[in-house]
Amino acid sequence: MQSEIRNVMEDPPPEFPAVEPPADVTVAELFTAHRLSLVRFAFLLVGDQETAEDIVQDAFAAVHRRWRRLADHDQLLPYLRTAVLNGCRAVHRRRAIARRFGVEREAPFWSAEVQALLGETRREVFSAVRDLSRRQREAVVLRYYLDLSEAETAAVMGVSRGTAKSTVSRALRALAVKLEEGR
Amino acid sequence: MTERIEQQLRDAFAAGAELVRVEALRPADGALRPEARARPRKFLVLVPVVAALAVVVVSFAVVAGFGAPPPARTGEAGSTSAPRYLLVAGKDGLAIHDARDGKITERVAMPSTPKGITRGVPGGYLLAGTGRGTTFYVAESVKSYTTMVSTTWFYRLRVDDRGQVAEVARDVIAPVIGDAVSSIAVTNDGTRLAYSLDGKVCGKDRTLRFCPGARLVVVDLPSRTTRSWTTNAFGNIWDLSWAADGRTLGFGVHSEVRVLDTAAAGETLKNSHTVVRDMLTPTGMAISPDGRMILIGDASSPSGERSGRYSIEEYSVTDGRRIRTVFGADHSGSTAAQWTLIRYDATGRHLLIKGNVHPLSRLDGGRTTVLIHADSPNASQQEMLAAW
Repeated sequence: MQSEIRNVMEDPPPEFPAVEPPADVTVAELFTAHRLSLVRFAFLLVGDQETAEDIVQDAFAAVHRRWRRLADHDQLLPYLRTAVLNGCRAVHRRRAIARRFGVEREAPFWSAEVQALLGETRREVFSAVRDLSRRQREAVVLRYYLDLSEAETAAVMGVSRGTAKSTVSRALRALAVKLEEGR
Repeated sequence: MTERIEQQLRDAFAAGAELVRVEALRPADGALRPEARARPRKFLVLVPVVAALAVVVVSFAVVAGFGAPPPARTGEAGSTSAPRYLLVAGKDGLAIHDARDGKITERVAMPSTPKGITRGVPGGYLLAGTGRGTTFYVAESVKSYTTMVSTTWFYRLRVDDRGQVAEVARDVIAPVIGDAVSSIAVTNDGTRLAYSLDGKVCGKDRTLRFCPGARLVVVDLPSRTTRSWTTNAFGNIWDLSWAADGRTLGFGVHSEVRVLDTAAAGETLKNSHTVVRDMLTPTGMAISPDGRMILIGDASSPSGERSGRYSIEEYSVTDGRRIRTVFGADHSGSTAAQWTLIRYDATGRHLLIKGNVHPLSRLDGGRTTVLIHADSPNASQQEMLAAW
């Protein structure tokens, strides 16, 4: 111990240790930066803010819990988007089961008040989007709300780029038909 | 056609998303909704029952152990001589002061650290002393601008008999990376260093973001072995202080004053003994060298024409009973009084005290000596730490 004692006034300042920010710092920063957009993304898919917030919160919790197992910490946002999308799918599955048993609750998004706020044109668009298949709905929200590229959309959905492209294309055709019908 | 549909989608999605307003989101620091968990298998139900029984047995054993407080070591705590020097951290950095009259004997030039964000007292220093006025430990936390990660470096200062810095040793323990260190204490014999970390310790159903908590670490300096304890209690650990036995540690957490037997088993502060609950926080506190008493700062705010009262109360560690008022004074004005420093020396006969309305002083029996007056250029009363 004595041998380690030395005067260190003239020593150069130490460097900050080369460390990756810990999980809590990174997750907290991601949370601050992307929470709102992810909640809005989930809201567009499930139509209920409270549920959307739960989904996003669970996604962040999952990122933190699996921090050590996540191979690429630079790819956390795509991972979060996928986790949110999976959370939305789980909600839709639960709702489908509830419907089978005759329990159906309209999502707040479809309330008269919200629809009035949106205006007629947008209401028609949402109505047409609602009639798309689950996969098509996800693809158009990822593509036209989050503004993701085809490759990014494919990665989040867990499908090939070609599948994502054709899904979006078919969705747009279906929407065009639907919206033209409404005119 | 496609372009028009795409435009309509973008417009509708943007408008739909705008229905979620940022101000309508749940507070980020609220409790997290517990995740749905699978129902445990039947035999697993027995595990928590057995664990609960074990906790009851262990708790009984721990509480029973406090019935006989650890004796202070003779020879070390038996000396009647008061510490000769203080280490003070203030606006102008660190300085050695004469503990009799508060005069600066030497300003301390600390080794430089990388530029970053410091907390608390200028320089981000935390101080601890062995209670003899000769050996001090300094923790300096700096948060990197780029990674936003705190690094805390630990130094040891030795002061000679003329009040001059004899040695500064860097990295007496490895730098702590991650959360900032919030409090430090060293045993009278200088062999064990305790520090606490602000931080967030999470249970299964919570994320770091939602569950504040803290960690307490004790380093055995000769062997460099480390033990740590965690707590999920809301709030930080504050004001660590050691009894002379080198194993009993007093501290505050949330609004409680607790004592931990650092030689007992356990990895959480659940096994610590709560002496006083519902304290005003933050406040100063210190465990006596014999481990039997705890001093806790108390204060009442001035109200109308009535002046406020601030005092230091002595409590029994064994049963949390208030024994006596060690020091008391009145203050007027609109500021709420708050104790920021209460420190025993190694003998337990002398106290170093400071509050936001009380200057840095020493208390010897019933006599109070102000060491750094509030109007002194060295005062910077709001931001000053000291150790002896």
